[in-house]
Amino acid sequence: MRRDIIVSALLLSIFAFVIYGFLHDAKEKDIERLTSKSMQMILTSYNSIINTYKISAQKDMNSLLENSDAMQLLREFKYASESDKSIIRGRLYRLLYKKYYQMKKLNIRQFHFHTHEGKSLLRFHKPARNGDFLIDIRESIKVANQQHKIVSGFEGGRIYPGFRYVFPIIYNGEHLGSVEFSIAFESIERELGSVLPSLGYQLNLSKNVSYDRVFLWHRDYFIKSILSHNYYIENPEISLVTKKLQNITIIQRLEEYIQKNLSSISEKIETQQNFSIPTVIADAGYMIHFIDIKNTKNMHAAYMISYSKFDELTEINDKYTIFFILLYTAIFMIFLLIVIVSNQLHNLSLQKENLQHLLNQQENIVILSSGTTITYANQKFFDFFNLNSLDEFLLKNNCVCEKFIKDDRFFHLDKIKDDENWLDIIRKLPQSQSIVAMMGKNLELHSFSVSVNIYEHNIYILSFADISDTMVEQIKLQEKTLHDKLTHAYNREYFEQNIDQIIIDYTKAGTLLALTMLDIDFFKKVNDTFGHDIGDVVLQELVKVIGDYSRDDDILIRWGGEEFLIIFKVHSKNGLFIALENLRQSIEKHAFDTVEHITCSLGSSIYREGEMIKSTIKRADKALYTAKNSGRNKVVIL
Amino acid sequence: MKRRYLLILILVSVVQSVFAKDVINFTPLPLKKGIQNIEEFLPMNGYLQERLNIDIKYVYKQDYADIIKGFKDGSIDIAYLGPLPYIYLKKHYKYTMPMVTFNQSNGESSYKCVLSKFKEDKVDRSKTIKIALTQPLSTCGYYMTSILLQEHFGIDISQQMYKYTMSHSNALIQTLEGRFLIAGAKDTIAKPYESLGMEIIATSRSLPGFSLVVNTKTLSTKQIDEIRNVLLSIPKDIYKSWGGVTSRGMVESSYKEYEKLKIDFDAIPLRGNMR
Repeated sequence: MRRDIIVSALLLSIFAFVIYGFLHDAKEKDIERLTSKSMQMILTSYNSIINTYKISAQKDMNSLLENSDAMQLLREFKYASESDKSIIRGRLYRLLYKKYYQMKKLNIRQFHFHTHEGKSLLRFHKPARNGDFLIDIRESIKVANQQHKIVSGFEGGRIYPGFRYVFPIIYNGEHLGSVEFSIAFESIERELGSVLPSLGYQLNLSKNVSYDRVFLWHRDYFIKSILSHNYYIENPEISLVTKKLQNITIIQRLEEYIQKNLSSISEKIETQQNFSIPTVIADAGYMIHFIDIKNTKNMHAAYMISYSKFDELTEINDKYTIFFILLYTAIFMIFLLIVIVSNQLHNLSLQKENLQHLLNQQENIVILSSGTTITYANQKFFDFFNLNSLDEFLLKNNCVCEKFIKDDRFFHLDKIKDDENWLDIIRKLPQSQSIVAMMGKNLELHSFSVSVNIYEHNIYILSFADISDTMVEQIKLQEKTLHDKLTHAYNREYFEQNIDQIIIDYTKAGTLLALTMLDIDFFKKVNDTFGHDIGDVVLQELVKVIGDYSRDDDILIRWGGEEFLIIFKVHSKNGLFIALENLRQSIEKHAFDTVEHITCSLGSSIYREGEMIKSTIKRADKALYTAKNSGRNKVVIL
Repeated sequence: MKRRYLLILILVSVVQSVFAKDVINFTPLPLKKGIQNIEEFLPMNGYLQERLNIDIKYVYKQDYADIIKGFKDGSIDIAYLGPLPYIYLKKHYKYTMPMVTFNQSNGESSYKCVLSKFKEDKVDRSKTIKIALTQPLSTCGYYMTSILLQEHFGIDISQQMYKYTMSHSNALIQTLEGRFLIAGAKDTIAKPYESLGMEIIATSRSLPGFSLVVNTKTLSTKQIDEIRNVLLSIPKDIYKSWGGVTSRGMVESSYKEYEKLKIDFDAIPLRGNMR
C-alpha cells in the first residue's frame, strides 16, 4: 500500500478515535443527565412520602395527647405495681385498639407505647409481647425518653425494622414514656409504586439494623441480600414485597446482572451514598437506583433498590448507534474517496511524468500559460534561459512575453494594447507573423515561431519553434529586397510595404508624420566632374551623414538617383522645420571625400489624417520643387 | 406368602427412596393471613433444609377443610396440626400419621385448652354471653370450649352467641377488645395475654400436643424417618434460640393419646351463630 494511503488511514483512525471519544462522552453525559433526573424524581417522591407520614404521625400524636383517658392510664401505669400493670395495659389496649385499626388502614404498621424507662409497654401489632427492654437497642426510644425529643428515621427493632416516628409523651409537664408510629417498607413501596412507574422496590437492610437487632428467634425473618454479607432482605416467606419481586422475571435478571457486576458495584455500595446503574437487558433499558436510607442518627441504615424500565436508555443507545454508524460510514467513504483521489493523482502524476518526459524530448520550447503566467515549462525552456526551475523564472517574471525582444520584425508587447491578452492576438496572427525573438543564455538572439493550442479553459500550450537560422536567411533576403544596394538605406519597396503600418504607429503615438524629400543639388555635375564612382561614394557618405544626424525612429529611404525620402516623427511644423534646417546645415558643412562640399534641397509635408499617402508625397515633391526653384540648399515645407 | 409381602415392601421402599421428594410442602395452622403462622417455623424448617438438603415450600390454607383437601390431592406433605384436626383428617384420609409432637412451656408434649376473659368483665349467667372461638376443627375451638363452659360454669354453648375468629390469638385479642366475653384458646397462647389483663378462668385436662403430621402417600418411610430423626436430635441450645412453638423441642408422637379422644364431629357446628 502506498504511503499516502497509510498516512490517510492513520489520520482517519485518529480522527475516528477522537470523534468516538467525543460521542462516547456525550452519550455518557446524556445517560448521566437522565439518570440523575430519574434519581431526583424518586428521591423527591420518597422524601415526600416520608414527610407525609411524619405529618400523619404528628397528627396522631396530637390526637393521643388530647385523649385524657389514655394519658390517665399511662400515668397510672407509671406508678402502678407490677400486678396492676397488666390490667392497665389491657385497658389501654381496649381504649385505643379502634384507633390502631384506623391507623393500620393508613399504613401504620406499629403503634407502640414505651414506658418512661424504655421498656415495651404495649405493642398493638403484637399485644401479648411486652415488657422487654428497648432503650439499649433502640436509639430513638433512648432519645425520646432521656432527651424528650422527637425522633424519626429508619430503624431496626426487636421484630421488624421500619420508618419510625417516636414521640416523648409529656402530659401536664410529666414524662410518661414514649410512643412510636412505624411504617413498614411495604407501605412506602406501595406509595412509591402509585406515584412512580416501577417494576419494584427492595429494601436491603444493613445487618446491624436487621439480623443483629431482632429477637434471636426472629432472625429467620431475614435472608442474606445479594449485595454483600452486610445486607439482609426480608424473608420472602413472610414478606409479600420480597416474594412479589421473586416472581418478576426481569427483576431476577436484573439481580443476576448485579451479581455479575458485584465487584464494581460493591465499591459504590461501600460509599453508602445514592447511586444508579442504568443497563440494557434483552434490548430493553432498565434503571437500578440504590437509595441510601438513613437511620435516626442520619447514618446509612439500608439501601432501597428501585428497579424500573428506562426506555430513554435504549433511545440514547439507538441515537448514538446511528451516530457511530454515520461516523464510521463517513470515515469509510472519506477513506474510499482518498484512495480514489490518491490513485487518480498517482495516475496523473505518472501521466505528468510521462508528459514531462515527452515534452522534454521535444526540440521546441513548450510551456503552459494563461497568458499572464506560466504553469509548466519543459527542459528546453530551462536550458534556453539557463534556469533550474520554473520558480526561478517566476521570481523575476510573470510571463514569457516579457522576454520578447522589441523588434518590429517580430511580435512583441508594444504591438498590442494594454488591455489585450497577447495570446489572443498572436493566436489570430498568420503563422508568418507569429514570430517572437528572445535572448538566450549566451545573449544570442533567437527567433521562434509560436504556435498556440488550448490545453484547458484559459490555459494554452505554447510551442516555440526555434527558427533563428531560417530567419537570418529571411532577414538577409529581406535586407536585400528592402534596402538600396548602394547606400543600404531603405528602398521604395520598403516604403510600399510598411507605410500603412508606419501611419498606424505614428497615429497611435500621437505624433505627426512628416515626409521629406531630399535631393542633392547639382549632383549631375558631381557625376560629370568626378565620375559615377565618386558620385556613388558621395551618396553613401550622405546616407551616413543623415544617419548620424537622424534619430533612431527616423526612416531614410532612397527614393531614386540622388533623391531621398525621410520619414520623421514630429510634434509641430516649426519643430520639423528646425530639424530639417539643422540637417541641411549639417550636410552643407560636412566635408565629403573628393568633392568636399555639397548641398541639398529639402521639401517636406505633414501627413493629414485620412488622406492618401500619395497626396502627402506629392506635396513634399512640390515643396522640393519650390526649394529647387528658389535657389536650392533650402528647406520648404508645404 | 410372608416372603412375598416382604419382597413387595422392600420394592415399595426402594421405589419410594428412588422417587424421594426434594421439595417438601409444609402447611402451618390455617389462618386468614397464613404468612404470620409460618414465622415461628422458619428456623426449624431452615435447620431441616440444611441437614437433609431438601427444599421446604410453604403452603397456606385458610381452614382445616382445605388442609384435608391438600393431603388428599398430594399438595401437602407435612402439616402442623392440633389433635382434633388430626383425628378429623385421619377420619377422611388414612395415609397420614403424627410424626413429632411439640413440647409445651411446661416441658411436656401435651397441652391444655383454656377459657380466658378480661379481668374487669363479669360473667352474668342470666344473659346470653358472646364467645370467641378459633376454628370449627380446632381442639380448643367449639369442642373443648363447650366442654369447659359446661364443666366449669354450667353454660350450654349452643344457647350462647359464638363466632369462629379463625385463630387462638384472634379469639383472645377480640375478647381483650371487648367484643366477646370469653375466648377459648390453647393455654400457651392464652398465657401471655395475662400481661394484658386477661385471666384464665378454666383449664382443660391434658390433651395430645400439636404435632407435625405427615402425608405417607407423598413421603417415603425413609424420608419420614430421616426428618423425624433430625427433628428429635436437634440440640437444646439450638431449638431454645428459635422462639415460639418450636423453641421447646419435640418428642415422637404417640398414637395412643390421640385414640383416647372421642369426638363427635357431627356435633360441632361449622359456622358460628353470630355475625
